[in-house]
Amino acid sequence: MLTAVIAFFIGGLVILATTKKNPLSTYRAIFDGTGLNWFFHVGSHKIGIPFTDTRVWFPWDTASRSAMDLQQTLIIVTPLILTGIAVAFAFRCGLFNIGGNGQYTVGAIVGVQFGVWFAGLPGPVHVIIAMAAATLAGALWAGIAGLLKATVGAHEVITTIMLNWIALWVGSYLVGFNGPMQDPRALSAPVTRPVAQSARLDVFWGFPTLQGLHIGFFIALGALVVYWLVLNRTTLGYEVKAVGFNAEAARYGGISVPRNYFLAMAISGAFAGLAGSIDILGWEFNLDLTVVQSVQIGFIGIAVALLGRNNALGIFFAALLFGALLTGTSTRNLDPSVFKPELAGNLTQIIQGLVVLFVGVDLLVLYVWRALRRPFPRRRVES
Amino acid sequence: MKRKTWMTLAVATIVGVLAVAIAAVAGIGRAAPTKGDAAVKVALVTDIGGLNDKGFNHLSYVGLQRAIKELKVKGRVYITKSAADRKPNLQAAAQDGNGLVIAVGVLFEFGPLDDVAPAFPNTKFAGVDVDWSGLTSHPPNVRGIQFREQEAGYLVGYIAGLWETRHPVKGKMVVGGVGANKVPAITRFLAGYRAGAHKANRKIKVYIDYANDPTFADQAKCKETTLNQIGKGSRVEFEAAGACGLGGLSAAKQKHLWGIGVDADQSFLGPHILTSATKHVDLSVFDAIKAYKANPTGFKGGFNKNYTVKNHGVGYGKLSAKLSKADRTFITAKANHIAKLIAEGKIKIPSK
Amino acid sequence: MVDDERPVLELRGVTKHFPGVLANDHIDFDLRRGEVHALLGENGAGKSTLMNILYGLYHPDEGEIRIKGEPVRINSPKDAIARGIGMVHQHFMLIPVMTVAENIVLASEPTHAGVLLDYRAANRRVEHLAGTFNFAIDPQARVENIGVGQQQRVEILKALYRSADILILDEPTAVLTPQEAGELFEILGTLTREGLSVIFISHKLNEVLEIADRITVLRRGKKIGTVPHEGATEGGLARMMVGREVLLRVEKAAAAPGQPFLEVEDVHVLDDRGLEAVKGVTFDVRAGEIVGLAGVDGNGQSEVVEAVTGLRRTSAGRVRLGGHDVTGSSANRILDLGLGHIPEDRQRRGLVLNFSLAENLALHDFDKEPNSRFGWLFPRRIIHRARGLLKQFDVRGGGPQTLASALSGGNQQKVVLAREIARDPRVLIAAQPTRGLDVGAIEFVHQRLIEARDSGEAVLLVSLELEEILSLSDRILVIYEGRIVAEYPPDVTEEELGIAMTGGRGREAA
Repeated sequence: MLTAVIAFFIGGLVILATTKKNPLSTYRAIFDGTGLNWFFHVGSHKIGIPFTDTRVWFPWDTASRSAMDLQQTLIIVTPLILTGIAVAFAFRCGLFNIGGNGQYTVGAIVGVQFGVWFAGLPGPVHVIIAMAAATLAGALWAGIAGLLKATVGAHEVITTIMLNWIALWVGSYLVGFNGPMQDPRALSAPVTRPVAQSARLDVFWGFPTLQGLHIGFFIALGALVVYWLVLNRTTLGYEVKAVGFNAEAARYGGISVPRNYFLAMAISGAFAGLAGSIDILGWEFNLDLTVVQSVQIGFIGIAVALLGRNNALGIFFAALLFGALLTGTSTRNLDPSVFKPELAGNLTQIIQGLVVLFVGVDLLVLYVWRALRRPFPRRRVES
Repeated sequence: MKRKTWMTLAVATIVGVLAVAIAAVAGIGRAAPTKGDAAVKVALVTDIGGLNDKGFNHLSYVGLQRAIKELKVKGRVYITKSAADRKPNLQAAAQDGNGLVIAVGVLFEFGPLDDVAPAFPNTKFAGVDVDWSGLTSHPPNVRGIQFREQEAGYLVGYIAGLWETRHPVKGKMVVGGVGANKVPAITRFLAGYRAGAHKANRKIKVYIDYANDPTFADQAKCKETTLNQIGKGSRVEFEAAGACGLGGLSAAKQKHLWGIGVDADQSFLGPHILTSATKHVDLSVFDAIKAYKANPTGFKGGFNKNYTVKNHGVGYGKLSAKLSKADRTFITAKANHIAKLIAEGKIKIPSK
Repeated sequence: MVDDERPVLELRGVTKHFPGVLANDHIDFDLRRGEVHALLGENGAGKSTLMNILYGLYHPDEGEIRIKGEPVRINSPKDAIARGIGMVHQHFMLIPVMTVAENIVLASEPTHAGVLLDYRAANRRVEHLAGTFNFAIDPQARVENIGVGQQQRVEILKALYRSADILILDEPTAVLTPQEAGELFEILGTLTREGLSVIFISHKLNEVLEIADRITVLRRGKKIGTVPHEGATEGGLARMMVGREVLLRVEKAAAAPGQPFLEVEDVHVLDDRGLEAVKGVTFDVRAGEIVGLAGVDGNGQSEVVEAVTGLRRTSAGRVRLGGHDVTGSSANRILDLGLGHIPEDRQRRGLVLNFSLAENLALHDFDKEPNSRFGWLFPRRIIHRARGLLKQFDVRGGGPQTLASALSGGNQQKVVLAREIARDPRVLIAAQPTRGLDVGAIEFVHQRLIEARDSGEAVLLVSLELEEILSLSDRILVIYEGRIVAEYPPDVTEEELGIAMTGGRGREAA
């Protein structure tokens, strides 16, 4: 986490150097834009309890602009948690899953298709069917890489990157102009049909039509619990960790290493696929070509896992950090007089990049820190 | 185990401290949007791609900047970085007190405008490339902005035909048009192109092909399709294909033949650009703001505003500097005459 | 042995703290010209810390170092080299693709015009140096192509080339065969006659008695005493090292072999490079006996063990465990049929260092009751069971939740031992079970192996230590170049075994 602080510090220098603005006021603006300042606006308000007509006293104003910002932050945090878990789970098995993006895309494609089909099913059933299908699809997609690793030893970094591209171009074909999934009513746009009302996730905070916070957020939090439980309370988690820490010792202990490579990748992909379907069913409702081609959620998931140290709570906070950065630097939240809109997005990327960079070198940072604290005997001799 | 707990705690505390620290610096709170501001406030919500996409988003931004300068309105851009930004950007733009919110890109038609516009009935919306009749909620405060691409296609087809007629090779006259994909806007460009070329000379052979590039960005595909047409004898290549078309235009340059650009005036690519079929997104944005400023409450929605040759929404771009003086004078005179006829509605141009 | 008037090296009250540990507690040490001074102690006694201080890798918190009477400050290995101190580490610091001469002159190469390496001058100098000290070595051979003993000589020459007159050898015999160790001792004799002084770090009593003029014993960071070679005994030194009486000779009753539990029949195995490392090995191990498999490292014993335990495919032959054919079975099935395996490399294979001790102890049966049910782990039960085992096997330095990496080598080995023996296997394979352990831990391991035998298990002991093989085995097999070349009763002499291990004629295999 020291790394994040350093990244922010250097990001601040960049602001100072490029815009001659006070980094603190810029960061303040970013922080306000994340909606996290909502927690500090304590007052006396009445709110309705979701899904009921009851109204109760609540210390925060749930309809303010910062409330909306916070909803948007948490909407982004939701898939980031899941793709973060996807990367972290594979990491725990000693695998580097770069394919979160492809698995997310596959999950989104399958999620939207199953959301379009079966219109008229009871809501929860439809949602569960669509999510299960997407989760399975993500699992199969990553499972390909796992299977290749387990059987012929193909390196998962290479195969998952290739699968990313395959997902991107297959998705582009399916969703794009004249593709089989393109909305027949929308010939002028590369977009699928919207999912049925029954497949949409309930919004528990904010306006359902204005992209309020949907219950997928709780699914992501639940996934964190599942992630922790699987790793620490199941034989599967034990095997995965054993293989990840020391594959040779695991083999010696009677654990099938190839089997765990496959399972770890498949489970990893399942989380990413789930992320794709939650975005579709929670707020996107349809899938368009720009999403297929420009989505970064899976890649940011790598940074989330790295910063979160593959640890459930760490992943939550890292996802919150990156989600907050994304909404905090969106142009709707950054006053143009504080920061030029053209630069705001780039600043996010700079900070993200720095965080990832420093996660990699934080051992070095710690080393330098210790070296600085160590007394210098040489000096004592000279004096 | 111990180390892990420690790490978790550290992460949690530092995030907490960081948040509180920033909040403290922030002084908790944000200036409320100033109300009762006399100046007219307008907002532009772009789509994924950024302001520097050299295309759609860029042109719309140019229009906004012109409006800010000439009409003295207050304007703000809301850049859409991901699909998750579309609705919140529209909503924020409305909440920030902008009277007119212009959404750029066809994807706002499918969801965002339908959901957000009804929630802000006192705010006016306009959607570039948005077809109002495609909005399922039929919001009365949204105006669609559409372009008659076939008219621009007709003009550049006519110009291509004129040049071929004056410079036949062994009596043969062949031109080609390449589309990225079969979508309505592209089909309109190319239908106009074919008709325009035939208007110049009945005997001209016109090849129309699609590169089948759903992304509009794969230059290799347009290049391949273009080279194919050149192989069949075409000597003027119209690329109605966004960034994909850049590949086709460079193929034309390599073969020392003419290329015709699309959307923006692409004469900046070099003297091999005979002309461009222009689509003035900037103008449409400026116009909308101008109309809104003149009469904010009277700004009407519920229909599509069409941009045509008549209102200078579409047209043809600069002619190549490489043209001989005689050619230039001849072509300019003839093309302007045809443009006048189109504006007067005296020429029927097919859209398919 | 030249007894000079003053020591070439003196350490006075050297103290070094590490967080939570007092690694060196006011240690006095002196080294005379031309002597071999052994530094003896268990793992973690502070030998390495002391030598690292001397070599400039650590700075002492207190105390002073005098070289030839003059107080010095050694801040880096560079300083140490400049003061004439050379160190041969346990793991050689050689560049495999370079020649012997290139390695030796590295960092102070003779050059043409300051740029190009003068190979001829380098070779000449190295040849001259080797001649002076009577070393047999080819300066132009590549390091990767010469044996371990030769590599060690290169390290020594490297130090001599830099004009060292004090040589520190850190556990030099750990990697050598008995023959190579003998050659090393001859070299050390030559060096001391030439006036060099040698600090010889070891925890092996017999070789210390063989080579050292004086012996200093460290225990838990403290100096216990310095004794001259004359009058020192293994028992006495062991008592100084461990702080109590140690059984150096294993007491065991005669074996009562029962039915064969492990049968290996004409097994062939390929190594990682696809070469045949085991070329038709046949033997059996019966209930209630310890069979020792002796051999120089790299003669196929690792591959035999891996084949029997299901970690490596056999290319031909049969393996039977308790009557079941387990040829080609998974490691898991073989474990379930009653195999215990103490692997030769506990850090690479025997333990998951990032797992807690409890998790490590459950490595084979985490997926069985009572540790888990339907894939759901019960960490409390695992920890509870671990607590008992750790106590029973006297593992010190941590509880069930301590990470395995936090333990010393000896205690790590006890964890492995606890896991494998507690399973009550029919066949226990112990591959180099005491490698890197000190006297106290070795005694413990040996007793446990004997107990396993006495409780009716079939024990296969693979070891590079002849002494270990001789003192534990009821039968001894010698493996050489992938074949069993001889079988001996336990009363065979070390010399005879040594000859058979290096391909000489021994008694034919039964």
